[in-house]
Amino acid sequence: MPISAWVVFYVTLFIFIGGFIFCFSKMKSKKDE
Amino acid sequence: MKEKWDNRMAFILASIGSAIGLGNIWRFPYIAYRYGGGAFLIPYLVALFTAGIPLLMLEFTLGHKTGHGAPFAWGSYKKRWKWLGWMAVAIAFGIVCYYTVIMSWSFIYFFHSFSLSWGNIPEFFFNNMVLERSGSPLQLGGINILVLVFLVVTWMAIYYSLYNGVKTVGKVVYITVILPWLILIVFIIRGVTLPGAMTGLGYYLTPNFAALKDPIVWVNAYAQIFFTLSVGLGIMIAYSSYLPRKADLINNAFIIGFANCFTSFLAGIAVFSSLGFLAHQTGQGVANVVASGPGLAFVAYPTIINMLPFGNRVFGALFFMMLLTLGIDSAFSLVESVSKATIEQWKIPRRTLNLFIAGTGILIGLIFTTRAGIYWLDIIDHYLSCYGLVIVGFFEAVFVGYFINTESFKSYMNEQSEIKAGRWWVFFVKIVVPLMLLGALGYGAYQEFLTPYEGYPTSVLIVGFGFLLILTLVAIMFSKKERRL
Repeated sequence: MPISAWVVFYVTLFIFIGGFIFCFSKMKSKKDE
Repeated sequence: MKEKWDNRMAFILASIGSAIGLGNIWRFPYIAYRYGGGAFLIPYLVALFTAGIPLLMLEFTLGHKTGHGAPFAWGSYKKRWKWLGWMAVAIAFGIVCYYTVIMSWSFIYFFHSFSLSWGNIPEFFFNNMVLERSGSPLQLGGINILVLVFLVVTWMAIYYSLYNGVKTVGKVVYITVILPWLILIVFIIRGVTLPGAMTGLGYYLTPNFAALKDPIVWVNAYAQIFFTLSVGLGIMIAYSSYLPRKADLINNAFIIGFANCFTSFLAGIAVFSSLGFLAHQTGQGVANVVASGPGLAFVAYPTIINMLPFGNRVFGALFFMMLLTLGIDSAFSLVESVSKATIEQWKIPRRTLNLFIAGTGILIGLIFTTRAGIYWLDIIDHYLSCYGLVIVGFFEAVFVGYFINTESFKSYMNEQSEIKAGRWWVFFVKIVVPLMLLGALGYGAYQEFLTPYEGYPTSVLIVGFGFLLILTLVAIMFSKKERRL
């Protein structure tokens, strides 16, 4: 697999995992319950 | 007493379950491969942030603010807008009629996987032994009894998943969302450890940045985001109407959007590593074995399963179990959209109504259980997804963007949420979403004008378009009916 494909893989992974961490950090645990 | 979700996680999982379906496995990887490989992820993510998540936020806010299903949610703004809600509901019903037939095929394959009945001829097995496919859409060839039997089984599963409304759904989704994720992880690990996997992944992830100059790539990215998030079907409006008074609408939209697209991305890894293995084993190029849609699930995957060095039956059963669990929560969310709207209109008890919906779904689904069913499924899906859904999404954005007080709508959403919607959200809803959906609609119509869809005879396509027209007329007719109090 070429290096550019690895870059795409890691950048995408970073965006999604970063996105999840951001969303869950904004979640007030009991707010909706 | 008003129905409510048990907790926030039940709502998030149910919405994720609705959004993640067969399309994430069999459509996204192929579209990404076809439109620029790894570079496609750029327009795809742009589309997620500028159209997918803003539309999810819109639908969540609409459902939560009004507490109604799609028709009455729109009707609470302007009575004459009820047609838009009914149209979303009608399309949801149209889709579930054939979606359940695909699940019926998956059931059949699940049982066949224990004996690997497809042998060395998966394509022949699918067309001639499972579907008993006729030569053209006009040769119906009678009903395929086995497909019909499992269609009934599928509807029974949907009926029981909705037995106590969102109370049951909130429990079922813990299995139907988490289990396919676990199976997907198993397939990723299995896929990337097979010979040829890296070549396959190279096809999926190597970016072709030149493709980004092509507007068609962007239109396809927006269309893919739109189809995958279950917007425009009244589902997210119905689901969010069951949220408690205090609910973080914007954060929920982000989590659901991310989870859906991340699943598609991972599915691409599982699919392309396996296709790389298939190419390696057969001595062909990956481009020659690439498949999407039913061809990927029911022909390419059984071929790959045959070639695995060990555990073929287990992997076969797991794969079709994954399809079934992915499909069931999307299917019952479509039914919930219909039943929420119908209960509000006619005050019919939920279980009686769901039985009626199942009966009607089976009756209409009969056409898809015939020997020509796969053709009709393809045609109806084309018109409902590429035209019906896109039209609903377009009007949703236009109504909220131009015909109601967008600022007060936004303020309501912000009062509820930790992440705030700024002017960016208004811009996306007013400009980006309508423009891109018009682009998708125009592109589809232009393609249709150049060559009839999949080369089907015009008479057949007229019937397909007629189905969409009938659903639209039914929606308009229902919107004129007075609500039973």
